[in-house]
Amino acid sequence: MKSIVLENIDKFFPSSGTWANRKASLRLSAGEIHAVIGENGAGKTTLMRILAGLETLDSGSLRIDSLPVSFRSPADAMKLGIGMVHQHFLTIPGFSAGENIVFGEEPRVCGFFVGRKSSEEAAAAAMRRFGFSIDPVKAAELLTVGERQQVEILKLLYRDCEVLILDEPTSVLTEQEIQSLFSILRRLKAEGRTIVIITHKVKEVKEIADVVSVMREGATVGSFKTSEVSEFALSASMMGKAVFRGHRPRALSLPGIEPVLKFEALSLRSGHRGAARLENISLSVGAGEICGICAISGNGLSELEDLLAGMLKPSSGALRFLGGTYPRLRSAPWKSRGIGYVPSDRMKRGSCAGKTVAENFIALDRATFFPKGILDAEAAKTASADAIREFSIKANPGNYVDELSGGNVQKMILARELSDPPPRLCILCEPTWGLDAASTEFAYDRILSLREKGSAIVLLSSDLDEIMTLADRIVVLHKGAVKGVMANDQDVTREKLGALMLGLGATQTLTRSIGGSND
Amino acid sequence: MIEQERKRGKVLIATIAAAIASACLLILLFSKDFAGSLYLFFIAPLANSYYLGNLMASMVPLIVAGLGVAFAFESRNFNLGGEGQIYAGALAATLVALLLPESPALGVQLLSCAAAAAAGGLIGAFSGMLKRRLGVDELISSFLASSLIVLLVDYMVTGPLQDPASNFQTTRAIAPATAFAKIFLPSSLSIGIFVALIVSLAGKAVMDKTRFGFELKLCGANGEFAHYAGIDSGRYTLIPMALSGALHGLAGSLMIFGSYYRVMRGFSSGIGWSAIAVSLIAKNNPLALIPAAAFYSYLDSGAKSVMMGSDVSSEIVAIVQAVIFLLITASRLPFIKAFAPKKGGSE
Amino acid sequence: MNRLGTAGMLAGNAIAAMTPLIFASMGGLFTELAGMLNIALEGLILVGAFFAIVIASATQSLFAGFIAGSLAAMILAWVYGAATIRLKANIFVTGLAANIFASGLTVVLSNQWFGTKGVIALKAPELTRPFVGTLGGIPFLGQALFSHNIFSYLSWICVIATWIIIHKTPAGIRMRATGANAEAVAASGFKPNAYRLQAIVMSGFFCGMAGASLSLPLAAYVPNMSAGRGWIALVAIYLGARKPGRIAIACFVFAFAESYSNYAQGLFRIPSEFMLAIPYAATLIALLAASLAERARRVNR
Repeated sequence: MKSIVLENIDKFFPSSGTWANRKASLRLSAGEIHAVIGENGAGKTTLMRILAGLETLDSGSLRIDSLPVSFRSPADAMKLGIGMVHQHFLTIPGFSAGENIVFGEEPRVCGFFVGRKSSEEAAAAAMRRFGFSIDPVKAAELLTVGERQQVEILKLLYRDCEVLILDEPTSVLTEQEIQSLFSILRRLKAEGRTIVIITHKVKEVKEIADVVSVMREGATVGSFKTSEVSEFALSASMMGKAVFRGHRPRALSLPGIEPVLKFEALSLRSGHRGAARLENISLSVGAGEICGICAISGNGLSELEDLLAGMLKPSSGALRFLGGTYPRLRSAPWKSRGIGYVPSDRMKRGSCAGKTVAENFIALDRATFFPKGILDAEAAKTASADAIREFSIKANPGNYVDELSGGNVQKMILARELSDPPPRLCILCEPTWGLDAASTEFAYDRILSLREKGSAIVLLSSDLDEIMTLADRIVVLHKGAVKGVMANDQDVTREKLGALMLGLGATQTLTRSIGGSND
Repeated sequence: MIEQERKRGKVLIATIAAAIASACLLILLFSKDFAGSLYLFFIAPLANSYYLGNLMASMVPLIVAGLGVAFAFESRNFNLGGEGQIYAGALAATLVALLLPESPALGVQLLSCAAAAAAGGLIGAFSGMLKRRLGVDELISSFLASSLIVLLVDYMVTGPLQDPASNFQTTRAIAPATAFAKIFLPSSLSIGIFVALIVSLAGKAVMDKTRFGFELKLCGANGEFAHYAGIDSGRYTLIPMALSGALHGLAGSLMIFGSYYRVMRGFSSGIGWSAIAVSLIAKNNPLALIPAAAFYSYLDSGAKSVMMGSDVSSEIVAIVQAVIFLLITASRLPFIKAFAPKKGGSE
Repeated sequence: MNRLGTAGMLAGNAIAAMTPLIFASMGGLFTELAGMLNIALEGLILVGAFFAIVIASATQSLFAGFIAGSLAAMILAWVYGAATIRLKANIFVTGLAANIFASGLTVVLSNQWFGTKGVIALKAPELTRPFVGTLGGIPFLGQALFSHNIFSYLSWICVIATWIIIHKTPAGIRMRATGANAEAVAASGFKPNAYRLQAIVMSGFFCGMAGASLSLPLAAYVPNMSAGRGWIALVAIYLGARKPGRIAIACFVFAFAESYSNYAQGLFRIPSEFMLAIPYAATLIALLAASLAERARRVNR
């Protein structure tokens, strides 16, 4: 195989109503390591899944050595030597490493039977040939993460794959394991194979890849030789130029007043998958201030959200609310003490799909709507009708939530959490994700008016537009630690923030202090 | 939700159609007189007051126990211990009624029913507690506990509590004065039917109008959201299981006071499973339990009338019940076009 | 009877009683390994028992009876499996359906064909006991090992065959993989649902044999003959940690307990209900023990 060309690929997912790929393209050649890089949701994984035969393309073409091909299953792609190593490894517990490697194409004993020893020997032979060194007899459950990945790669090599696609391969590896992986990849490249790496880590792209293609919003925006492009240029390409929204007046909170929310040297060990944690976060958020915390997914935002929601406890350090202990998970006084929380997962945590709008609305404030344990249907109806009117939600109190569009569900959640009286603390997580322009503007207005009314607002988001429009102060997280804290003024640009989010550049701190922060 | 509702509606229709079709098929296979047996199965149960009244009488435990099943299902718990809970409840009620003096009759009835509910409730709570504390699957533990209870009650009825004056394996009968009044002679229909209707209405009110019902349903619908809303999910495992058991126990006592007056070995056998079938057909809606129970009793009545009028055994209703169980939890019916997967979606 | 004789008798009874349990638990092992909770074993055994003796008596051929029993159970298993897998129904509810169907069908047919809902005694050829003539006289071993009918020896062969199937055949390996990580199996280009259905049908075949091994030696069908053996088989699978050899040992333990308590029931008068309660109580205790062990493991991590 000399070349693979994907051209003008479109892919639409009806279940989420989004175009994962829109006129995406890619050119691969033999004997190269090709990185595909982009933000979350840029469409890189979908495009590669199409190449690996796991998804079908809606339109566009896939040519191998200039001959058009179409895959109906991963088996078709495998026949042509294309295989994918997934982000979460598919090792089969109860079998050994060797058995996993040859699974599905085991060597036969006496023509029909399968023998464990012969399978493991075949795997060992493959390992010798490709220069790996895992014990084929080792049980799958006992393999380290790095070893598991090697098993996945070996699965493909055993079937003589010429094109190996790796999805975020370094996200779960230690430094040594990453170097080990890179030397394997270089060896495979020397044999003439093609390696495709899906990643968002710009530094690694420069280290290992020969060519890099950048994707954004479902399309390919550029392809470069990695030796000819800088890290900053790559991250700029990934993040894109923002539409200038116009600055809104920034608030200045008064010094000397007790901050509403305070993070004191907060650390969290073993977050999701043991990789992302939080390290030594110290921040204060005062009344009438919007603190925007941004990061690329997997760098600590969701852990922070779970901490603020009361679902996780910090391993060390503390969270303080109004100077005292942070209230436990939705304890009855949560609403009365004034914390509003808009979760990032609106369908699982933010609402109950199988229930009506009215039921969702009253679910968190049952004391008010069930006086003496009996439903006050009138009050529920009135309250939800008021909220619907106030937030322009296109629904009736009796509609079921899963009939609503994403935007209206979010409005319903905003209405529930942010209605009068304004909460002392608002925790907003990706509040305008997936919303159309009008709903987004509406939400921005609401959030800003809350700030006017004196709420302290913590905004957790990976959407730079959102952060730059709303925040007074911006905090950037990278690998769970604070990489930058700055006032949101004219100096702040998407490129700057993008670079910090990717871990490039020096750690930035505020040049002037606001309200006792920057501890 | 609308999509899901429509799917479930189709599954329900398909199930009922399959149930009726299999009843017909069984009659065709096993009866020498197809037309006559068809008449006996489908028409006779409604034809005279004896059969019709008995049909309504057999709805009583199905509605009450069915409500118990519905409460458990709504909170995402499976109470499969109905058989034991009903049987134990019946025994508890009979014992209390035998120990108390005959009058006032209402007092005896109330105390006996309370004892029955307590007995069933404890058995249900046992499974609920096992799930809450040890994470033991309540589906299996309630089934196993119930099987044990059934054997225990069998032993009591044929051993220590056996009525010495009777040739049958049964306890002594409760005093006739304490039994429920009959309302539709010559059938065995009693005021128990009114109790069942009131229970069904009360169930609807609790489920839809109280905070308890709201929280219970929320736990069943989206556990994470409920947990996040501050609802203790352990509480809504234990309480629904206990409530479910109590309702089953109550059903047992209603059977005693309404029709049987004594605990005969195995008299309530199969009612627990039927109540599950009824609740599945009613989709856990307390008011829909009434027509669902009517449908089910109709099938059962038909089977009994066929048995009495011809040589087909009444166990054909078990086969029909099996067909209902087999299909009612299906979430796709491949031979119905409306279920074809959408283009581009993933299955 | 001297001590050795009694011991021999007890061991022999235990091994005879173990036979249906071994068939059923080997069958259940397939579904367990494929990742499913199969409670239909009871119903499958019952159907197997009924059809085996009825056909054997009708054709006066033991082999025909054996085939009929296995086939009947396989058909019921297929229906149960198709509903669960193709229609995506709840496996516990469909398992219940299978059990209810089996007990209903056997009563209806028994009433229809034999005019009774009780015990049916039939004339069928006697089962051979291959070794009793030659080796049956040996003290202790003769009674314990060599005086059984062919089903017992067949069940031992089944244990070995099961081991070979799940460890040495491609289908068996993929079935195990389906239970362990169905996504991986699908990603390798196979269909997990096909292996699940295969496992269920296999369990039907084995449970059919279990049923035949109950009714054919007796030349009779007793209502609810399976008597909780399906549940005991499940417990044996858990106690045996899903390994055929260990499961067989667990079956022996249960069978020995049954054989001893039958003996003891003669000596002390234990109500029959307590005997029948043992399978359920044992399963419940095993379930509790497993949950407690899981808890302890989680705490220690």
